[in-house]
Amino acid sequence: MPNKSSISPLGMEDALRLCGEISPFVEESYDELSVDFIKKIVDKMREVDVDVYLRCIQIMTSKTDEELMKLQSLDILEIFIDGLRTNQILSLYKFGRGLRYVS
Amino acid sequence: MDRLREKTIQIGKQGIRLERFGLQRWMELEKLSEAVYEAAGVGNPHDTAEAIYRYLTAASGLSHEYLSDLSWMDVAMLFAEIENLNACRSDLPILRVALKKQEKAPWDYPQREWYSMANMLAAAYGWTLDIIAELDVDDAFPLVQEILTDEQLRREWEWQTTEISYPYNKATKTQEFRPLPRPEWMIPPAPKIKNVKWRKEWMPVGNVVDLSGMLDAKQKLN
Repeated sequence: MPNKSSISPLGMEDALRLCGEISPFVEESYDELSVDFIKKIVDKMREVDVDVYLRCIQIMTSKTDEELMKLQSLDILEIFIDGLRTNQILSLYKFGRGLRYVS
Repeated sequence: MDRLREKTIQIGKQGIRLERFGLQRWMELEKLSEAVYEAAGVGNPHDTAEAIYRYLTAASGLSHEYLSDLSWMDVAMLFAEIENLNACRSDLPILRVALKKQEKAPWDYPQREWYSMANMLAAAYGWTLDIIAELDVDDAFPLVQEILTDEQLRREWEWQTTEISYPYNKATKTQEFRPLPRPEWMIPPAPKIKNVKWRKEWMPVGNVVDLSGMLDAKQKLN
């Protein structure tokens, strides 16, 4: 199982890919210091497009569908949260907006 | 003007020296920066990342291999630091006008913008290419604006001494002066329209009847 130590900050290309996937679910008003915003992101994904959740985890871990399916949903959520924190997702979103990569 | 000419930033254990470039390299860097924003606007992560690496390699000398091994945070920090260090701080009308995309002239070639600017500065001040290449952009752009202003005012003077600047107006049966059009950056901004307070009781009441006859004309046409 990919644990905390297996998640390292992404390179620029993958980070931009992650930014593109996650940007519809992020708002600039979110507070980076609290993890509450991750719950808001997950809730929005649940409403709009569940596949984005797995795609984001795949980008952050380089794991295949099959590898992820073997994990417990709580473990996947832990990876997701850790991945977003490690990659400073709100800063990434702001960087993407600054470049006009995402709107 | 006091400007920061260079800066060293720390990426991991390595100190990376960044510098503010002279006009020629600044213009090359600006082209690479445009390519970054163009690729980002299309939303292609691979092309955007590659464009950022090309920009950083040109500005810092760091290799593509080194940059692609860095985290996005380090790359973004390098990008922001270089952009900030090389930012043009002159607030000039000529820079405020949005450039319209022009079709390339048949005599266009790579680096024409640099040679065009160098030609202008060399003709005005007699400087050599080496001196112009090392000019700070905060000095170069005001000088270019001054050259263009002088040129426009000279043209306006010449224009008003010719007959075509006084076309004949058939309605008034006189010749009226028509000034030479000025470039957009020389035209003063239009004054803001003042907000007029309108009282509620001044609004029309009851049925609104169109008496202009336009409605009938429209119906007849249909």
